[in-house]
Amino acid sequence: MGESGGRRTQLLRGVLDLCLLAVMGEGPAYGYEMTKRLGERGLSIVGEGSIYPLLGRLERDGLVDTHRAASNGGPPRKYYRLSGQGRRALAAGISEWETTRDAVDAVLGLATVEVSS
Amino acid sequence: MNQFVKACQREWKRLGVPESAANEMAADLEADLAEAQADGASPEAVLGNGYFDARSFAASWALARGVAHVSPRPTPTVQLSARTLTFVASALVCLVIAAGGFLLLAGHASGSTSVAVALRHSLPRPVPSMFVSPHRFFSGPGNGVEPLGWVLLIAGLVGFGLILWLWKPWATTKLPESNRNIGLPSYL
Repeated sequence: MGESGGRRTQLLRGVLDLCLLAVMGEGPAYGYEMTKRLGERGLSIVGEGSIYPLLGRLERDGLVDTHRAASNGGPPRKYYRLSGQGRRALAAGISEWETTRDAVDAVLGLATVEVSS
Repeated sequence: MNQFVKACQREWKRLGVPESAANEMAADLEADLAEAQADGASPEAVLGNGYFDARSFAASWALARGVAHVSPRPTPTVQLSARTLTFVASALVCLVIAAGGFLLLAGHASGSTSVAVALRHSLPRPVPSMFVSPHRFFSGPGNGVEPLGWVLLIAGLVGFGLILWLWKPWATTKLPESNRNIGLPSYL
């Protein structure tokens, strides 16, 4: 993995749980369904950590509720949806992300870089 | 059943994950992998880089859910035990060396009546002359027994002290975080 790939991994690591909470906010979803929702927004987890341990942690921390239900023509799946605590954590996380993003943009936006080949 | 899922189940069993939780995780995983395959997606699209290490993936999932009952990594404890044994053995060797030096000095101080003489009487067969008296073995100008005794005594005590001095910081040294988390994704 190159330097840029390593940085992407580090950046994702801090916000992937927020992204999962966000896609769950669109409606209950099972594991692979969440992966697809992330992928539709350009966030592929190929080469990154799996979402399953994160889902396990979110469940353990009470940020999501789960139930089993039949999927479209497939076997019963475990669906995850935001709990009240999860909604509050998502709101707080989005606020933190925006503050951090704006501050980083303010710094990086001023940088002028010349790269010689 | 998918080979990856089978490997995960073996790891969950090893970790003492309750059967109901293990079956649930396995069923979800298998269904997701099957759906991804039907979509033409790679397993890596479902599992991320966890696809390349089933055991680590399974352990991190079980730990994150709080359903693992045994530590996935006994190695650090084994390393600590080996370290302890090394220190204890080294300390014993130093003490034996110091004791040898002390016995030589004690034997020298009491003339030719050394411990070695006592040995001679207790043994049923003739003892080689070197055990009769250190004086006879280290014969020569100035008699080397006393210096040798001092050397052994001091070397043994210094070595023992050095081991005690080294032992305290080493015993309290914690293993690096990276060692304790080997195999687990760092986002946990």
